[in-house]
Amino acid sequence: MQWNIDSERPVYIQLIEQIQAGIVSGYFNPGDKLPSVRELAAEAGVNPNTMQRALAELEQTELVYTNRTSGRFITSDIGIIKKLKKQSANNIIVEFIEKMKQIGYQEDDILECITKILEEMRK
Amino acid sequence: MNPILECKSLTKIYSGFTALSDVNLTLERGRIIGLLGPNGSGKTTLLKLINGLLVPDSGSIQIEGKKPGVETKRIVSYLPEKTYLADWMKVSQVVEFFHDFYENFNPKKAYDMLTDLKIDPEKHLNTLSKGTKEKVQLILVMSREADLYCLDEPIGGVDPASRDYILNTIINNYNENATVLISTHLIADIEKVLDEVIFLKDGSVTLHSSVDDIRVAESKSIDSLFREVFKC
Amino acid sequence: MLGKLMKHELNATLRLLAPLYIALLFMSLINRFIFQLNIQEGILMFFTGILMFVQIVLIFAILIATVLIMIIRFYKNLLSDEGYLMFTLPVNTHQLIISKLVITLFWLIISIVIVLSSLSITFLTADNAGLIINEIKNIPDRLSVTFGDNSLTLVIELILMILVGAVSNIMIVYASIAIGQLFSKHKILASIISYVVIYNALQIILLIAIVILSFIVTGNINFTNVLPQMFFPIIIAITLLTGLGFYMITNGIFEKKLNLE
Repeated sequence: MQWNIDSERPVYIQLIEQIQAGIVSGYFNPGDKLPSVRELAAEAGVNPNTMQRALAELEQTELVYTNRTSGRFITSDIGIIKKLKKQSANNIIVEFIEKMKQIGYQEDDILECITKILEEMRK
Repeated sequence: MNPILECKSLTKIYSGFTALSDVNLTLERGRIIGLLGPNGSGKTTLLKLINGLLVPDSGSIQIEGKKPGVETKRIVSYLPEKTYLADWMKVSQVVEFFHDFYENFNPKKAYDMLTDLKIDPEKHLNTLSKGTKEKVQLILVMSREADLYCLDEPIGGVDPASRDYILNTIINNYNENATVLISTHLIADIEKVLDEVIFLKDGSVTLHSSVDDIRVAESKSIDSLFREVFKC
Repeated sequence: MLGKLMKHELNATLRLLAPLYIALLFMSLINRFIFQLNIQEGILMFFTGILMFVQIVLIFAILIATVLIMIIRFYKNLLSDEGYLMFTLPVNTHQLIISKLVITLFWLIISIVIVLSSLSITFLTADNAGLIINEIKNIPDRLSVTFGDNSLTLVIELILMILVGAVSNIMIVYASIAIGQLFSKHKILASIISYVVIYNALQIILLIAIVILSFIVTGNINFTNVLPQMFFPIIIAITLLTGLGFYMITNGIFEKKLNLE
């Protein structure tokens, strides 16, 4: 997986976002076993403590769980993943709408624009 | 929690020039810490004091509760900026040397890393380039299972691919008991790997904080903050 | 740890001296055969001259090299960049100094043995062997006559005096190098000046000490007649003390005043 961490924002927050993105995109499948903290940290090029913190937070939101003997896993709960997908989709849409508004589009224009482009993409 | 390093009012003066002034510092275990500051700020002096290569003029310095000496040298692994290996030796002979003197040295790890970096152990050190010699030194230092690693500019003279490998090695070497203290100018390359940073200016500690706290408080990278603080 | 340091020291210096030793012994063998041929005239005599010259050069080279290696090795391994490695090993300064002292003494002895062997190989025959052995046998008796006392005691004292003297001299060299290191500029010059000053000062002090002692013991300052039995032991004691003194200076500098560039 391509990790894109910048230095301006706290790393652990970015790690949470990127792991969430991984789950949503299907890179991480439900029930997948995660590599060890050290391996993940090395892959991402970040401090293991920071990766640990990110994973701990993900456990809080139940996207990830730890089995004491066998390690860390992505949740198998499809419901939670669906919720995450929906949340991600909403974030993208909100961001999109705000950007469109910034370049001057009104709400009706935005809808029209989307419909037209979707048609073209079908061809 | 027993800290791995404790400096209390540590002062070191070289014929009129104060290299370190009243430094108070505590380093906890299981952290990767950046020691940042411009040239002449006292970074190398601090590292030398930790390793018993200098004696304090006043104040104290303790590694795991002990003054620098034979016992602390067993558990501190030091990578100086210099090439400190004897040129006439072969790489394999230097590995043997470290194995001989350091109980916690892991030769297999060293040989694995030499292979990864495509360094031939049968070569004599004086036939290797400066960059390769530096890599050999780093491999030797990281192949010890120490409690405190002191790395002085570990990625300075090295190409980007090797830089990644080295940072990767530092991450993979991590264990909750050991601390890595990295002294460097190349902050941008290294800040994602750091837990904490220490800013050293004219022999005094001006900042010692976790990296995330700084990013949240200042909304900028450590690199940017450094440039601000140490503007010429 | 001391053993390991000595082993390493041996390895590092062997590769420098061994070739010279081998060359000399080889040359000695060649010259032995040449001498047996007993060439008296012509161009060949010119060649035998050159070969003999080479052997002499090698002998001097070995003696000079042994001293140079001792000095350079001490400086390079402990006070140049390699010092960063040596002084961060889990060993104390005593071990660092003693390992070098012992191995240096070792090579001094070996070099002398090799030189004597070389001369024996070239010149020793059944005839002159007998003469030489006789001369050697006479030494204890001659000593006895000059210095009074038991000849065996004197031989032992003589050997002891040479050994202690060697150790003390090595320590003076080491101390000079360590003192030179205290200066931030012109370290090598400082070392050389230290050595010259110390060496000459010691000669003077030794002389004064012997004169005073002989005066105290016999009221007479003409010490060559007086206290023959005490002569060697006094020198041994003084040399031992100076050796010890310079050892402590060297160790003290390494422990408290080390400042690698």
